[in-house]
Amino acid sequence: MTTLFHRLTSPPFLRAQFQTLTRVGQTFFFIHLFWEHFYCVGAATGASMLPTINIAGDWIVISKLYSRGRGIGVGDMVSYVRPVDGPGMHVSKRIIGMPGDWVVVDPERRDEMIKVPPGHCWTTGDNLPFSNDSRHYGPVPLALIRGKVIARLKPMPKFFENGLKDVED
Amino acid sequence: MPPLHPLLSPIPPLLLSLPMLIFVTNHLYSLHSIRGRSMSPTLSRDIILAQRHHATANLQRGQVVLYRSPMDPERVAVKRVVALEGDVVVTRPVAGGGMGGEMVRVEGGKVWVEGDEGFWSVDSNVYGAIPKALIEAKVTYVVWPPSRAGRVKVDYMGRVGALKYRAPE
Repeated sequence: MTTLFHRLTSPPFLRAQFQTLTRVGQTFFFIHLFWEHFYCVGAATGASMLPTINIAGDWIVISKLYSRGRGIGVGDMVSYVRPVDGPGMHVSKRIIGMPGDWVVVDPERRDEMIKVPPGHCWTTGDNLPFSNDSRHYGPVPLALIRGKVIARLKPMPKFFENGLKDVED
Repeated sequence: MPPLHPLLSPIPPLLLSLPMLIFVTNHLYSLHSIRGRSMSPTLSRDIILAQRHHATANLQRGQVVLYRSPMDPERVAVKRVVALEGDVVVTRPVAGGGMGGEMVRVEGGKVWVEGDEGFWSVDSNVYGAIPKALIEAKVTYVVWPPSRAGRVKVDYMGRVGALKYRAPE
């Protein structure tokens, strides 16, 4: 007569358990890799990117293929770690200047211009009066960029285009 | 599926465990070889073990860290943390740059990093304090060559006078 204990400790049963665990682990790490290095989804909050992203309730898709500023250009919307309060605080803003570009620090106050240093970018929110961005903490190192905000998932799925359009004459 | 050739049979399990290996080297521990002489005599052409989890937690003055260069996002630099946020440091003269001797206050969310070999080092004396979020890992052990293997100490390496004001913990 086989007891429950014997059945649970029999080699075929243990082997099957081990195999299931391995599969679960492999799936977990595969999903993690995809999330970290390809695409991830997150909830965005705050008024700084109005009207592109709503104050609350919007879910955005971030492409990690653009992490560290690879292939990023002026007009793209990026997600980065705020340089002034340590790791963990992620924000979405639009790129205004790339390394070597001249940008106006704060067009609403004075005409002071600075050159964006190598390896940095200049960012501002779409909603200028309610955005905390490069106007306050200066150029952002490209290495802090987590990825490019490529689409909105919820509500009303939509791909974002580069906000910089040529002026037609 | 037909069984694979015995020589090829280890390949699928290896491929399936690749995401886990990437997870370990991205989030737990990784090995790096050091080039350049900015960290001599502490490190010179060594292979080091970097602790990537809790990279900026409980950061201490004197800790050797790996960080993404603010000037070039694809470059990883290794330097020593000299001052934490709120501290005031006296800058060091830079080869082909400033004369040093200036008092700089480290802003919130940033740290001041310097190489141990002042003359060859491109560090905070060139580009200022770096955001804490750029730090990727703590350098904990030298693993190769065996003659130099051991723990990397947390100390100031002759830059004791650098700190003019020590922010309270």
